[in-house]
Amino acid sequence: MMIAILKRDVQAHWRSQQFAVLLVLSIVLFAMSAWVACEAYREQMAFYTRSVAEGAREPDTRFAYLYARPSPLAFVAAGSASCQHAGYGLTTKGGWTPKYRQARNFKMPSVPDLDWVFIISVIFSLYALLLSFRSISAEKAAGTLRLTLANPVGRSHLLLAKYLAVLLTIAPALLIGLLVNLIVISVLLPDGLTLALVPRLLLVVILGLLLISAFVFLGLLVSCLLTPSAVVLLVVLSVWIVSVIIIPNASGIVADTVAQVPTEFQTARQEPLHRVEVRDEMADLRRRVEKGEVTDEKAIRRMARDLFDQGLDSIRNIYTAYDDATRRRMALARQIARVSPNALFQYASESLAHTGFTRDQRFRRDVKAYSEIFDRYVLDKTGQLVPFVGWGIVFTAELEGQTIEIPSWTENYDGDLSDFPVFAETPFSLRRALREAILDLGGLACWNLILAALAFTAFARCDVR
Amino acid sequence: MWMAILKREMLEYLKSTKFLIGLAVVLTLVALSTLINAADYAQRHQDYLDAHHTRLPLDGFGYMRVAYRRPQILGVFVQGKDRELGDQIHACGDSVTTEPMGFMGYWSQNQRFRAGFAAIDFAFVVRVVMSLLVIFLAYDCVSQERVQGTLRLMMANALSRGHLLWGKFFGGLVVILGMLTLAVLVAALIIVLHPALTADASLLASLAILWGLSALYLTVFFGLSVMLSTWLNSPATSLLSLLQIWVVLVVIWPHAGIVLAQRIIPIPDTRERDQRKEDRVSDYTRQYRQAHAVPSDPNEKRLYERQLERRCDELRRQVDLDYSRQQTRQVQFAQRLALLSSPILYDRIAQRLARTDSAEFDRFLRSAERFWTEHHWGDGRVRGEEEPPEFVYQDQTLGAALGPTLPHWGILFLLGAACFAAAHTVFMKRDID
Repeated sequence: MMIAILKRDVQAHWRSQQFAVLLVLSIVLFAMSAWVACEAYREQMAFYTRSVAEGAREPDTRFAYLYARPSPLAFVAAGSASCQHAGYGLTTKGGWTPKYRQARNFKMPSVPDLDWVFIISVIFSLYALLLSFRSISAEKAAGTLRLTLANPVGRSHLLLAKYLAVLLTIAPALLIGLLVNLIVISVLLPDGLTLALVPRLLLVVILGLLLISAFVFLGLLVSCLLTPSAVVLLVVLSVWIVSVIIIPNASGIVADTVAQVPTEFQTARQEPLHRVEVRDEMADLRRRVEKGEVTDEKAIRRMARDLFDQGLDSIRNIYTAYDDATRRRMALARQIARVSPNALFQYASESLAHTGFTRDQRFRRDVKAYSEIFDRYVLDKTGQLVPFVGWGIVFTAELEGQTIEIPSWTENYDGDLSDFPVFAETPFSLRRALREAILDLGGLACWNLILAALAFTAFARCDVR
Repeated sequence: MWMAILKREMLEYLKSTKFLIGLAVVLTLVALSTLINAADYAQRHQDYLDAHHTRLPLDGFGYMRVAYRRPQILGVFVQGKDRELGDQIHACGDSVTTEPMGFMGYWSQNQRFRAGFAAIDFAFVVRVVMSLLVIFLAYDCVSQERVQGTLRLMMANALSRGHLLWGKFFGGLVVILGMLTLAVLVAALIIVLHPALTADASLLASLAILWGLSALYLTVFFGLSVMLSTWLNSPATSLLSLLQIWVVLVVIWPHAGIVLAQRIIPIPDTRERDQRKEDRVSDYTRQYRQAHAVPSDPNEKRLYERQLERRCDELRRQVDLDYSRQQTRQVQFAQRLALLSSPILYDRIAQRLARTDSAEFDRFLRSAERFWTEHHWGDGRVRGEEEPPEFVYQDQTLGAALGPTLPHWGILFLLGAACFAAAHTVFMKRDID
């Protein structure tokens, strides 16, 4: 009996206008997504290859440019790639400046990346509700639910059949869309897809189905609780808006308010104060030299160097502290957003695709680890660590009738740099990806369990008269 | 009879659960977003004032000068691109930056932090939430009566079909506009009572215009809902069709337009732009040195080098300006692709009204350039003064800002009228059974 209900419902869904529209949308959007992603990946790879080659051709002991390799799975979850740092310009003592891949067209309206995550999270979750909201309420209103339950079929079996019918309607549309996407990618980027990526792709598909399943359960739950289908739709769409639009977006604003990070101006205004401080101390040192209190040139050079180092350290600390604070705020925003199953799906997919915020954090850790190797190398070659920053000053003083000039910067080491340390990101294994995605995956599973339990309970207690 | 229909429709809407839930959601979202955005604006405005008045060495050193951009107060309701347009631009020698900068320049993290988190403001609530609510309220205004048979009964009275449809249309519209008015009043009240903000007449006038624009936008969706409700027999079918149209209009079309524009009119990356600058400069330098021998006199030599450097600066700036024009072309193309999408038209007009669109940055840039050209010599020294006068950016008047958007108002109006005309025609011609 359950199979008969399942067949009947699947056929009804497949004949519906929603399914036809969903199928068309799925094919068009996934094809478009593949085209956009291939173009973007080509551009990013070209930038990365050129930049890394340049760095290897002209090694420099003052700074090293380190770039993050673009993920071949950016088409799954781009992770706001256009806003992320492409790399860092690393100087000695852990100093760094951000490097952007290319300037975005800031005049263009900002829209989310058209990737798998967006299509599944917005379009498929909506259609999961549109296909499920009438499953119980419409049959209850028409009186057919009572007739169906007069047959030898348990309520749980009936609800399970309804659930599977919706899932079996959406899954083919999703799989056809994904297939189109992968075909377009393999045609446009023949080397883009490798067998090693297949497990990650399969995991993202499973995650997508879990998200869709959660929304199907939600549709069924509300359909069991309320009778007029219009009210059911109103309620489920309100929840959809909250989950897809409000929570993921508002969490950024909430974190902004809660985290109390100083503004950019408050941060930036500290830098000139430190510069002035260094200049004052330099003037003081000059006076002491000119008064004859310090006469040894080596000592003067060491003292000037200490002043530069203190100044540069304090300036670097301002920006590092600000960067750390914004990262903490970002992490908080993501924690808040995790209330929404859509955000859980997005973050888990980003972990599997090796993109987004968590990937940026990993890259920063790799950069920090390389920074120590770089410092050791520079110290070994030049005997000193002089941070290279855009702010260059020269200490001048008259010593015994002669002018001595001490610049805050240093020149590139002119000896052999063939053994310059090569930067390599830590390989991102599937196991590590899973470890990072496991909590979000668990969250999605929990949503499914909770909504399923509620839906089955509500249907078991539902008055079908 | 016409008035009776209108009153009945209004009462039906006001009593419905969906209206009450919708009203609560809209008012809560508007109140919360306005409160949060107002606090954010107050902080940004304070930063602007501090930067403008403190005159710290932050203003640059040597010949560098900084022009600060004031955040727009209407950004509280329509954030648009206000944050992304930066807080300042730099002028040095012959060049003025052509891209927005945060207070931290290259270190700026703000935009990065905001990636993935969109703004929620009044415009967003109207564009996304209220448009959806209008669909919910109106999808069954005719089809439900047809299914229940009450339409046939009503037509048995001395009432023309046209009057009946007008009654239903205006009844629903009055309720929707009432809800919108409440939302605007809540937002206005928060602004008026906020201790850090000053609500002047111009701001309130802008809010009134924003109300008019939102009303026009919601009328399009209402007209569309009435049209499908008269056209399709089943309320469920009309609701599902409307939702799918909403997804295409609000989610997919804006996205697709931008993606297509980015692919059809590509913009070179920074590296390519730098290469183009280098090529032009090296070509010019070679030609210049071939045409003019280097003078032996040190003073003349310095002048010679200075002239060459000025010309090179100008060439670099030309490349930047070309790039900026390309960016504008790309945006205009995306806008043309989406000319008939009501959400995009709404956004465009609202951002122009609030001066939070990219045209605002272009205007700010031109203004700063004019100021710099008037007050400095080519070598960065200030003309006839120790310090240039303070740069103060004059906001565009409301009329000047809204002038270019008149065709878009027209298109929005035509879209609404076309939907209602189609609904009218279908209703006049269709069998009511």
